[in-house]
Amino acid sequence: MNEFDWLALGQSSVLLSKLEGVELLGDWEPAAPDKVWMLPLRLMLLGAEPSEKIPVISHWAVVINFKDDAWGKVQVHPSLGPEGLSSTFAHQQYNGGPHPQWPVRNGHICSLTEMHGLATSRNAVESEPVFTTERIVWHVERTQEWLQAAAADKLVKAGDPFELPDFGIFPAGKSETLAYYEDAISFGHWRNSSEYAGIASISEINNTKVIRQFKDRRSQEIMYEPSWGTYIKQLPARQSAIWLRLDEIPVLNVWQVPTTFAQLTDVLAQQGKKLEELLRPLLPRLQATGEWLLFLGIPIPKRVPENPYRYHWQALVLSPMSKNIPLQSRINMTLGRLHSSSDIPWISRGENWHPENLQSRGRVDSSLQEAKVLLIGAGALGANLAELLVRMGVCHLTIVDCDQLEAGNLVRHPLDLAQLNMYKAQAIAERLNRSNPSAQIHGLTFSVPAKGDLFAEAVKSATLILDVTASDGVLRELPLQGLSPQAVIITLSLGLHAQRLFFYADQAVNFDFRAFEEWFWPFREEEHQAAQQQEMPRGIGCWHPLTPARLNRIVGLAGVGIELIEQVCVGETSLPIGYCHLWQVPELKLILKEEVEVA
Amino acid sequence: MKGFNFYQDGKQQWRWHLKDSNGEIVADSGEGYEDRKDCEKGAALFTTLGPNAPERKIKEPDTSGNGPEWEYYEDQRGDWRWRFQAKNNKILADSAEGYANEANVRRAIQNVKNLLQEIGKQGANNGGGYIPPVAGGSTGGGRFA
Repeated sequence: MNEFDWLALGQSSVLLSKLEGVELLGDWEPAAPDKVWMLPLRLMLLGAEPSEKIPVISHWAVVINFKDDAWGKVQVHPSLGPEGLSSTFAHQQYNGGPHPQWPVRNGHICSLTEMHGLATSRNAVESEPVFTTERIVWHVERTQEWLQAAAADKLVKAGDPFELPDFGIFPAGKSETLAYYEDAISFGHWRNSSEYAGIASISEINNTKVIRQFKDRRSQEIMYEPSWGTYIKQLPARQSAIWLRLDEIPVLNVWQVPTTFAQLTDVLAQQGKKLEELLRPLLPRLQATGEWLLFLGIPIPKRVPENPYRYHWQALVLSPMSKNIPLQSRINMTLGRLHSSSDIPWISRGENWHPENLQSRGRVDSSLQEAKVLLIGAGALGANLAELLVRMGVCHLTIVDCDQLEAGNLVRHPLDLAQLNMYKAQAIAERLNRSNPSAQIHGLTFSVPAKGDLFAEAVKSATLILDVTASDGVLRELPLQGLSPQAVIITLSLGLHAQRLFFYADQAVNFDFRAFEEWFWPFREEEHQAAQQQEMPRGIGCWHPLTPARLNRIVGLAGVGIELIEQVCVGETSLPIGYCHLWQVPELKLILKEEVEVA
Repeated sequence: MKGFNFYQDGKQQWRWHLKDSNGEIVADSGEGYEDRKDCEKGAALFTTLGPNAPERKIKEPDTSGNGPEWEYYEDQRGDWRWRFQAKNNKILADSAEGYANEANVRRAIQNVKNLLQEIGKQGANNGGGYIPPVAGGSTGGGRFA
């Protein structure tokens, strides 16, 4: 906060006082902590009839925070007192009480635009002005528009993506996450069940609680078990939560979540759920020590006003960590609190880790996601390819490689010194199981072809074989014994200096090494001639040259490989097919928008 | 290029030049700042306040103003100059050069006002904010977050 900020605030007051329907109720005043200032306003509802919850006149405070943003982070809060709105609406933070720090109500409206997030990553244009004065005026104008929409019940329109009410209620709440696994299929399963409550077990990853299993009220039959991958399945689980399915979103006062146990009990009673009766027989089945949680299953739609398509699980702490309280006393205390004005410690975030949600930022086509992949070779290309596949949604992958990680691999392999001398296949599998909560990745330290049940099983179940060994010996062994004739075989290898990616695909039933060799021979001869003319890197004490290829190209060509593999899996390409992709070093020069075509 | 150009002077202080479309410097920050952000904020305020502020002819630089205004005066060498002050007599900008007569300095002020207005209307680097082609309400901001 300096004299320029002061001048900007002063000028904002001048401009605001000229706006229709805006009256200043004072001057800018400091609010704790440092660098936060507030301006009280009286706003008149314009362009809409007043409603029960939105009167003609309401009082607000513009809060500007120069600590979080040099130009001032602006939020508009309802005032404390009878003229401040006390309901919570859509596109508004929880507004059930006073702000913990500032003398205003806590529910600032979401005056920013829906494109703000994308604008911060340069993928949209920012509507919020940069300069302090203009920014303040803009937020107040937005507040007037918000008021108009709230009064006309148009804050949410048909077709809008569904948004949950704000569960981030502090200081009572906990800034933690509940991870669950739900989709339309599990919703159908739940809808066919008559059980509305039961016992859940959870695992923990740092501050995230992961739901492992839903059991019935006797804690015997499994109602639903998420399809977690290897990493989560090996985590210890404890039985310390009760789950309760609801029929509607638990809100009061328009769009506010219950904040006391008595409010929650009332809201659920309106849905025909008697909380105390439901919990009483379940509490004794929980692990005696440790925190007790309640998971509320809320049916939600994709868009408004569609029917619900899956559950969202939101957690709250029923009883905090306890060591020395006898079980019955703890149960009585927990049940007693249900009718009290004790604040509910909501776990603020509930995240759906089903691939449908978790991978929505970027994934491969479902035909590839669902493939059972056998990857032969965990060198630089294979390991990078595996990383891309698993992060983008492939969950069933077996990696076969008999080599150990050497220091010389570090220059282009995702493994590191901590895995030195370990088998690459196993180390990569372990790493990838941590990269995707649904992944079931196996590493086999065999050379192909291998004997043994593990390898035979991997071959038998495979629908896609990826050979990245660049070994003719391996390719001659394909298709492997026991492989389904419908499986697809793809071999990928790199040219010298990773200047080219060679890609060849065919169905297992038709795969023939000679056909590959015929297609590849001209490329092979060209590679041979180039290798003779170049100085190659050589291993110490070893006379033969090492294959030169930089990591940036390997990763780039692995990315191209994914696109090609995907095209084969989608089934729009007739097989066999051979493809050579040439790496192109970009020529650095000024490029104007007119010269760029977006595919 | 046209608009505010921020730079560090020999004493490592942040200053700005305002250039017109011919690349001519038509205003400067008058003083240097330790912090680049302060320098930017000075330019931002000048952009916000400048276009609509009144002009006043003064005998010599004084502190009698009580709001944002353009003051112009004849200096001791007979050159005409302007300076822009905010509400608290803080100088936000001044003419980078002297002018031959009063008419010229007033014309120079008008040119800077026009330039500031133009800059204020441009997109993301200033106070104006983006107004999408399909406006949603008077702010043009579209749907709420």
